[in-house]
Amino acid sequence: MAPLLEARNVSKVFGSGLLSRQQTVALQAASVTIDDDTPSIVAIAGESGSGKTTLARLLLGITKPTTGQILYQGRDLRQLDGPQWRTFRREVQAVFQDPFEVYNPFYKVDHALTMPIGKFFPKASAVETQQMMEEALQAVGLRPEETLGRYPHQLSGGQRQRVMVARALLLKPRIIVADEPVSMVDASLRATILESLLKVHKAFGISIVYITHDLTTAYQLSERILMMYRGNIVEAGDVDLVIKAPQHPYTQLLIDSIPLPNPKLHWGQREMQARQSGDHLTAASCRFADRCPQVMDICCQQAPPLYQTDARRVVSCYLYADAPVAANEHATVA
Amino acid sequence: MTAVLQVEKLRVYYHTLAGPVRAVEDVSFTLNKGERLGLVGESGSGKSTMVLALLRMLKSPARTEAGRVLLNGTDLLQLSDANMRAARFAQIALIPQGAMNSLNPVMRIKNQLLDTIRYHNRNGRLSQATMMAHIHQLLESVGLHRDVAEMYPHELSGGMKQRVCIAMGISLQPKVILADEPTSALDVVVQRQVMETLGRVQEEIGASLILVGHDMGLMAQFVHTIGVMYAGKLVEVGPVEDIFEEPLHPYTQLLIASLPSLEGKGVFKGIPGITPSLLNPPSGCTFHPRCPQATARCKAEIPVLQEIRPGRWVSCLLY
Repeated sequence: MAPLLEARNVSKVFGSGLLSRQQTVALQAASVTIDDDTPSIVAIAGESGSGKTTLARLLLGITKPTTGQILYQGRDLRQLDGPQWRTFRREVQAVFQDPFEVYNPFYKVDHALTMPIGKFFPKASAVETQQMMEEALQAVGLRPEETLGRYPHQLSGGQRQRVMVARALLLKPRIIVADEPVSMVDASLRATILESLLKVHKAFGISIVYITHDLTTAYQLSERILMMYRGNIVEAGDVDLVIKAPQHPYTQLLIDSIPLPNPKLHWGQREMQARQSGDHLTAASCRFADRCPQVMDICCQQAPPLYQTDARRVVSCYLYADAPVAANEHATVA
Repeated sequence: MTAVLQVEKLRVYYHTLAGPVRAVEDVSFTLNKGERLGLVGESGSGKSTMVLALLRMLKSPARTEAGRVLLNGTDLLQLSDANMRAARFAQIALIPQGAMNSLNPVMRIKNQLLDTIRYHNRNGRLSQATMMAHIHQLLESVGLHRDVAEMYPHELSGGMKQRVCIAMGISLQPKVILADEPTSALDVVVQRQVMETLGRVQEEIGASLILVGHDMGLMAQFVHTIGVMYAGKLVEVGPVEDIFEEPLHPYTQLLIASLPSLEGKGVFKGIPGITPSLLNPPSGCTFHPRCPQATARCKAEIPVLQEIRPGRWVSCLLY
């Protein structure tokens, strides 16, 4: 069976064209697959600038890839007809990072909920619409009577974000792409929001693509994880392997920098280097070469392929050149 | 231990058409020289409001109703507007939330840094050259190259912009630095670099620091003392190790239990219930509707913040 949603070897380059002198490669040869038969949760993790949001936007069909394809139920997004596109739009929902930007400040927050209901359930009565809104809000821990009827600026950031998650849940989609849904929200609320995502996944079989820079919540929520750095997937696979036994030097650095909520365990045992300028580095080099504590000559000449170091994990690093090169683009599927 | 900042029974209300919203209710605490105090609490707990109140930067309908803010003995709330302006950034400085969005996008970094310095140099004692040298030194002290001075904010990464804001905060070597979630939305590696920078410059200039946030992991790694805020009140204060090892207030206990860890998969322990309305707060203890250890007494009686052991303060009827 064709995967539900698939990014096949996609790249995204910004600034191409006659007048743009500088091109930014936001994403390079990335592949990720969401299965149709078994709902799953996959995390895409990395720093800002890693390409994770670009990948999310490609999966949502908001941007088009420069090369490669995005396929929904086996069909390239660019070839979907009207009704197929509507289905795609309903079945793949988004929650974005910034609860400030996503609202039109002239409308009450109700509008963010009534609009999708009106579009996808045009036959719903006023009573049904109200009920759907209230249920969705309660599912994310909000009081309908203190949320509906307000303008965005009258709610806190955490409340605004929860309304957005409620909005995503409203349409009972097949996939929710959540781009850093809790990074601007409190620790105690994070647990509630992530728990509602997990509940929805279990209750309705909704697959989740969770984009984050927070490896701890990625570990808690997901089954698989893709670690990204400057547009490339550096390590991917089963979350227990990648987080508990990281192989790529960058993953190791990230995990080491997590501030643990234990005053006795100090973060950062590992030495960190700020990015050096690399005269010996070219566009073909490994993108982590200028910060890697274990860099070798070959890393500066050419970026490594993805090696299959384990049945459920791939790493893009010459330290593991003994392992077989990952067979196909679907290497990032566990 | 000398007290640099003493906040006494600070009260800030937002006067809305529906009535007063009690954003900060009778908050008192002391900050010693060189100390790092972490203020944690959910959004809406009053942390940012309190920070603005300390700086007298609240906007209507917010108003400081009562209390004293003693900075080295001087009550900031009683100063004239002119004197308070002089104190801002020179004595008590702010590194604001969303620091990356608070830089003026059409001004070069050097002009934004000069802005503060020039205001405090109105009598013109410092030459342009001296001020520029100061700026270069400032940037280097936060780990940025001096060329950053010539750049515009959009040319910098998130972490670099944050560090510019730190530079602005310390430019006049204040006694107290208020950092309101200075690293939210930065990734962990940059966060660590930025916090290490902040800690280092704080120690270099001998300042005290209040870090407002909700990342308990960050607090554990960075601060000496933690103050937990709930619904506008300080419910617990204590040394960071003690708070993590033995949280006393039920809210603190739930907060620590809700922290994500690399030990448990699929286990999310959110705090049940919803943040209370500050317009119509619950009777008695504001936490009782969500408290797993609430008794009938909690509905009727309002607990007070008390020092139940040396250095450990709790506001709960259990103690």
